[in-house]
Amino acid sequence: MSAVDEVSVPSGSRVARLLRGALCVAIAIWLLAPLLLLVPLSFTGAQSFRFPPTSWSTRWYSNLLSDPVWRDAITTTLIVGIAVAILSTVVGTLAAMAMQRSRWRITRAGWLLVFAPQVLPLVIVGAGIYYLFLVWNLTGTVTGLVLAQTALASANVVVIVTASLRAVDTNLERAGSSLGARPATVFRTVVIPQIRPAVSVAFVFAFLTSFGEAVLSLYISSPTLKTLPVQMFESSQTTTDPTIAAASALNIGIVVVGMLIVASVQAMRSRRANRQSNREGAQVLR
Amino acid sequence: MNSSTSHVNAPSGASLSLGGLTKSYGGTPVLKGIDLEVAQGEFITFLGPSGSGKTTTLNLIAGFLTADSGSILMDDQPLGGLPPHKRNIGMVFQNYALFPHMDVFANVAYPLVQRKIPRTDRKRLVQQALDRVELGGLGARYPRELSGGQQQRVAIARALVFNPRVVLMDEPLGALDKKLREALQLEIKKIHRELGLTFVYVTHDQEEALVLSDRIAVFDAGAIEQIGSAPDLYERPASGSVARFIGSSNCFPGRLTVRGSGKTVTSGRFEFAGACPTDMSDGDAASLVVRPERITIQPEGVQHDAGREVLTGLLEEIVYLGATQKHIVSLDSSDRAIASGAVRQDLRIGDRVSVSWAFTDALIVPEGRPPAPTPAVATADALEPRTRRLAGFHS
Repeated sequence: MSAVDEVSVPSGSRVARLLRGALCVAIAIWLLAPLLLLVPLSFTGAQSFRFPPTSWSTRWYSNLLSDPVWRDAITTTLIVGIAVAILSTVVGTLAAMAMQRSRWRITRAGWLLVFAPQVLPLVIVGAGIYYLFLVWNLTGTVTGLVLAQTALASANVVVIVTASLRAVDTNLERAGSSLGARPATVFRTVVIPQIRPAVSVAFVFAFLTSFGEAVLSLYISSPTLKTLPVQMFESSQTTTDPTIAAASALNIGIVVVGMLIVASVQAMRSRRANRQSNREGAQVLR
Repeated sequence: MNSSTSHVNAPSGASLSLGGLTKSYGGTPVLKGIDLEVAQGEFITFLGPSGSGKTTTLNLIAGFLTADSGSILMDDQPLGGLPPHKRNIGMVFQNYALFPHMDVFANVAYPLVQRKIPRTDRKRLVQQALDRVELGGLGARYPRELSGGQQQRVAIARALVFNPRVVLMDEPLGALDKKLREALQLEIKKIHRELGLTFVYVTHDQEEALVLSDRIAVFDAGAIEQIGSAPDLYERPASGSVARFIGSSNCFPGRLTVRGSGKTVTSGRFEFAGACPTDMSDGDAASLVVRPERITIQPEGVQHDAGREVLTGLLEEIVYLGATQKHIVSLDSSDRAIASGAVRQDLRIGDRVSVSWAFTDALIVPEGRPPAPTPAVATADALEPRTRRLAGFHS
């Protein structure tokens, strides 16, 4: 420990630091406890949720992948998730552009519309969508699931893409148009490449939003069309089958992979920025 | 396209004509009627402090903004309503605005791709443009791998490669250090001479304006105060603000008095004589302007020639500038005068001195509003009563 630390941190601070550390650990355990419980449980050898497990097996994982109910739920969730990610990335990016650049106040007020499904209690939004989809014959369909979840996931896309659009130098667009590019060409050749990392992050978040969404899906699901969260919910209500623990572990795994993708995109960007500043430093020295 | 190829082969710049341009943001007028004629192939500089409307005017010519009223003609064709990408005007920005995801070649080729120039011609034109800014070998580099000066050269090459008739530059050297700035100024001057394009250049650096321009338009508070060649503006400033902005000046603000065929400025308890080329009437706000190099400084008591204005004071500071030196004199009025001239050994800080100038070197200019206090400005408001001779101001 350096002398500076000794001087600047008053005595008794060691206790304070220990307390702070203990608090952090407590909060982490509090947040992670359900996960720390579920992952070991998914490897239990018994047909029950007894914790800690007395024997170990991977049979709940093979059950998850072989039981048609679970397998169909996973397939549906993946299809819906990818469709929602694509659709909400396109819709959200365009909405962010419109709200960022429009001169009309009404367009900028679009924020309210985009965030309404996020702010209102989902149960209410779900009920509204349910009755609407009954009329339109969209309940129990993949299309219905995709449309409902896209409304939800687009808001995340708008937030992420708007932040990156604000960072795009307007002079780049001006330069593009002064050089003879039509507005659509400027958008395609200048703006899109600048916001591409943010758009890919938004895509991952939209997929994760869909992947974990349960409330809207509960309304729209039918006995023959269920997403994984819906199947998990129903399973927990009706059986003591530990397959749900395996499903949870799979879910956690997907989220972790998604976050790793996001983190690596960001790491790539900051590494590039570092390289740039290093080069600038070298230029100054030269 | 016929229009683009004909422009590529066009040898020289277009004329510009701005008429009565106004623009306001949220009720605040930023341009109050800009009238300006730019000749074909002319290098004109918009000079003025920030917020004076020079960049707004440039953006109107580029088409990034729309004027509230007024017209812009390019070779007598109205530009109003034409979007920026159809104006065929090259633009260089202060922050370079290179596309960071494209290498140097792709950046410079961008306007040619938009104009559907065939690939082989494209390559030749890009190489030619890069050679012109002495970056021939750097086509494969990315902007982030270049220094600021190199980036701005790429931006200049990109703005010239499609042979625009007019090139706009918005403080292009503002982010560079002094040495680099001077080198690039000479390059821009050379490019202008070689290509014969019309250049409109925005800067707040008066030295840069003097180096580059055929003519300078001095902007102040949303209007053009004066348009003229560098010697015009320096020798015959049309107002106090132009005098203060171009070079450094000694300004004595006051009121105009008409005395027969001559005019004087009463500043504090002094009445100064000077030449007055502008039409002004008795009682108008006016300043007496004397350039520092026209002021002679002598130890107090040395006899002065007739026909000279003489003031006394204390030598407060000597600033050595190499070839010349600057003397800052605290006048007996407690105001300041600046005299610049050859380096000399006979003066010491703290000496009593007299400063003098020929009546013919003093200029009376109108004052729009009270002058901003700057070190280069001497005010004379609390002077001892003195009688003044009024002679020699007829010429």
